[in-house]
Amino acid sequence: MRGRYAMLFAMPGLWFAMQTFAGDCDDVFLDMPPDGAMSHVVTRAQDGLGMCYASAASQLVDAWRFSHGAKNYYHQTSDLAAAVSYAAAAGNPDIDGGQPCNVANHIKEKGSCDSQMVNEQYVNAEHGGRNYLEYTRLLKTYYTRYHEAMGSWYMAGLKPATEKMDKVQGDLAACLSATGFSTGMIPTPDKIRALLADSNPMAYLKGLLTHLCTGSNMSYPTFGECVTDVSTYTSPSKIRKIIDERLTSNSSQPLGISYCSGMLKKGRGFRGVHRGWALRFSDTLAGCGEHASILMGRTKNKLTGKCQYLIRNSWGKDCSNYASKDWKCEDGRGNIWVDADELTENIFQVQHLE
Amino acid sequence: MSLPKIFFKFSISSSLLLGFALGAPAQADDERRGPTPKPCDSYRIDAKRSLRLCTLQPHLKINEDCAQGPAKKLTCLAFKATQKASLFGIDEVDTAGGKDPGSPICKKLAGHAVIATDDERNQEALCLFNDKSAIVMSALYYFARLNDESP
Repeated sequence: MRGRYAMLFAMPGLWFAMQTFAGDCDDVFLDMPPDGAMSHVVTRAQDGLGMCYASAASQLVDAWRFSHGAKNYYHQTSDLAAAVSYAAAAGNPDIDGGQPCNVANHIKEKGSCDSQMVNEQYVNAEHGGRNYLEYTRLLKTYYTRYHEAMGSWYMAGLKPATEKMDKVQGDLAACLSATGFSTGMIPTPDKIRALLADSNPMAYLKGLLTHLCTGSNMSYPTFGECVTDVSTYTSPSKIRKIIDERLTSNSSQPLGISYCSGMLKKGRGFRGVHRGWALRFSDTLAGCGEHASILMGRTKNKLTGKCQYLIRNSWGKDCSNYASKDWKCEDGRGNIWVDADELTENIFQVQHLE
Repeated sequence: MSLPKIFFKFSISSSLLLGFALGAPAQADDERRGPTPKPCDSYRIDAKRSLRLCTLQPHLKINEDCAQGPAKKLTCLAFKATQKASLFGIDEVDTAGGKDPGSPICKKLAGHAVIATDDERNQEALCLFNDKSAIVMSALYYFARLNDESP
């Protein structure tokens, strides 16, 4: 009898202890409708392009747009168009690798181009049996051939090889016409010549994409600025504090994270970031697999009692990509739950929109 | 020995609160679960092309007409690709950083990558083959790991 009374007395204390402990990891689900900032942001697939940073930036921008009045949920920002446009503006020779905030701020300045239209008109268009990666390489070969013809004048003191240049221009025009591009999307011959003559290959590719990113295919977000919060010199506990503060703030926007994708494959115990103040050549260790994604939720794992963060990755909806059994992937959504302390050990940047 | 009424009231309310506290995580889990993933999804590639992919076996999301005949035998190139998939010989540059690890396997097996969208505009990378069969890119990575690990 006494034991039963003791249990009754203990209940309020137990309840209080649970609530106090749970307070460190209250549920946050930013993808939950109707009010979650990510509830209208679609799952991305970056495929074999090294543009995870642009996918993260596009999702930060879209979450902000949809939670600040934009109602056209069909318009999701094209990560590819943003990556190419930014690389052209920055003078980068390629779109492989970059900083999410650079791209988010570029989207604010230049506008957001519709993703479905870019994917259907460019990425998925039938390019004579080539996929778009090969097609992009093919477009770059036209550019290289054109510049070789231009360069021969300087190299040998001869006239520019105008016949060769005309041939490249004609070949490129024929190549563009042979694709699934609709007629209005193909640049005029004069425009093609001007694009080919550009000194930066990404500016040339951007020029071809620019014909898709005009008029009603564009949206202009009005956020303040994308800000990068932490570096490898920030301790994991401080990173976690910053993340928790931002996730539970009134604005409740998702965060961009730059981290090691190795932890998604290897599971618990993986460490890929070079921490501390020691002199080093790189912020990350071999095998890190530098990656960028969105962090959009938090909950306590009922089995382990550990606090977990919800990552929205950019590898599509399916869960077969995740080799580690330590993490729970939500099939059909492209989301993955990972331990908060394991993730923060592998984070080297956090981004948010202000 | 009898306990005052106030004690029982307090205990009952505590029990209810405890029940609520224990029930809260379960409720959150239910809230997250949402609709069960559908066995089949329709994917749009562009205005003229769309595909219906179904999970015919665990991790095997493939075009549903790959299963032919009364025995539902899988004969399409997309299925054959799962048997050949391997990570051996893949250039590290193609899997560096955050690139989808299935993509270079698709390329190696003479597939064509597209980024398709489902009914809710979520994106999925698909690997298309010459016989018009298709498979989700991540399945190729899964089967490549499986093939490489098997003796």
